[in-house]
Amino acid sequence: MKHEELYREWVRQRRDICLGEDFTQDVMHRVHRLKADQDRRRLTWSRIVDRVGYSSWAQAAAVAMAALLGLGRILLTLRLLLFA
Amino acid sequence: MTDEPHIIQRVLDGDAESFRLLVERYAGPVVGMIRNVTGDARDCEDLAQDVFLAAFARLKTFDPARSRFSTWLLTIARNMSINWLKKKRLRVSAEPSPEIVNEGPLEDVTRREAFARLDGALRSLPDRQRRALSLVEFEGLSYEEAAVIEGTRIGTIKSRVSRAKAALGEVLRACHEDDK
Repeated sequence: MKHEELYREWVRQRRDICLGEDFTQDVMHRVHRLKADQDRRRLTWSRIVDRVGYSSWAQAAAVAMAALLGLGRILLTLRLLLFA
Repeated sequence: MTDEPHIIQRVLDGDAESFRLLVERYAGPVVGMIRNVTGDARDCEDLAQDVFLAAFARLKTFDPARSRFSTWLLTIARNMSINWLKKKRLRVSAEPSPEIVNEGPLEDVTRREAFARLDGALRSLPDRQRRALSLVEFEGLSYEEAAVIEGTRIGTIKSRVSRAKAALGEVLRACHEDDK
């Protein structure tokens, strides 16, 4: 057999993939679990946003950021007062 | 694949089951690429599952204007294969080559021996050459697509494939010499 033919046959052989029977099923099982996790997390955050009473994520995030900055300033002031 | 954008949109809209169509369509190329890049026939399906899961998790980052879905998916497979190889090389230095079974007619034995030697030569190619050869020769991608996946220029891919083929050609010539 000539080199080129042998090489081509080897390439063809390597292209043949025998997948396990359950491959797709296993992937989809994991995909659905991941989706359920994502949905649960999203729902939890939605509930938090709803409970806090803000109409959008951006609004809630802005308020959270402002709260953190405010807390930071308070802590900094306390530190300056106590250790001055 | 004309309906691919619709399938992707359905998945993004929350229909996770539609992702099955993409898995069925690309399972072969992804597993094949991982097997050829890592040289590991045992773990390639597990790694391919991780690739599909990662693709599902970051599907909203896929931009059809920048690349085809297959290119995007194979890029994830490529990156995860490289990471897997790095971890594996930390664990074990070398894996034994599969044994050559000397059974059957002389022609078959010769061919099997040649294939085993080619497999060995493929494993010992530099990673970049092996990946380029795998994308172009085994996955049948164009040089352009392979260049996008590898994040390099077309000329570089051509040169890597050419060098890989030359190395494999040497192996075939050596087989031929042994047969004489």
